[in-house]
Amino acid sequence: MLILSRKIDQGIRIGDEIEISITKIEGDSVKIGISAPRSISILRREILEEMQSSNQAAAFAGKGQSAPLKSTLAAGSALKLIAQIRAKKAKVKPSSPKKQTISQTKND
Amino acid sequence: MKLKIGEESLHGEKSAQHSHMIDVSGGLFGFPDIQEMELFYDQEELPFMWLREGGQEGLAFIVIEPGGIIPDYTVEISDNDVDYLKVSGADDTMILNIVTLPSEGNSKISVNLVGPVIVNRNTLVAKQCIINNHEKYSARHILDLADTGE
Repeated sequence: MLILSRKIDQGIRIGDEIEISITKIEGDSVKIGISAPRSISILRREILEEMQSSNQAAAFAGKGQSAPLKSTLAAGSALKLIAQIRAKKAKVKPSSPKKQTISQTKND
Repeated sequence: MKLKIGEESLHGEKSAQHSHMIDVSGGLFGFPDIQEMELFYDQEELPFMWLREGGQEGLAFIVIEPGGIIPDYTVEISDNDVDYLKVSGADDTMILNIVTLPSEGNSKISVNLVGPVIVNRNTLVAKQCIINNHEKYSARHILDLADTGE
């Protein structure tokens, strides 16, 4: 890993399109400004780590093939949730006024 | 044909079970090597579905479509992800949120709202995306409908 020392208002250029600047230093916290093309994804590292650990916690190994979802869910008392969700969905009427307006305009 | 969960049976199909192969080579966080997974669901088990790998030792996730379940959940996908998935709008975009079942120290079912798996309904190409508006949501959103009210 390349390690550089920078002071406030100094910056680092990576390639032609990415620039990093140190905008504020306060105690043990640093404010960093990043200019990069929109196509480059910039994320706090914790978010990526959280996604990885969340996926790992959610993953079943070799279980999905054999176990019916229902029994897997029953362990998590999710059957009640299914019923609740259904009841809730049934209450929500399929509302598509927008679509209707569009088709009417087309018919005209 | 466009993939729409739960609507397939309306067209006279007898089986309540449905299976679609999804191209996930775009990546799932922590599992970079997975190329393809099966989205499997049983009409009776909806809204819960399996997103699972083939084979005995395969990996499997439980997923849900958030519509009607998670109130006020909207996703903003980065330009890069839109380009990769070639989706053009809500109509050809399916959102799947990964569900974590209770385990030790965790008594409730939670849903990852920060990194949904986004699927192009036409091409069945998918990618797990960290949404642009992720600050508004939790990666461990508790699925408890009693709290959501009416």
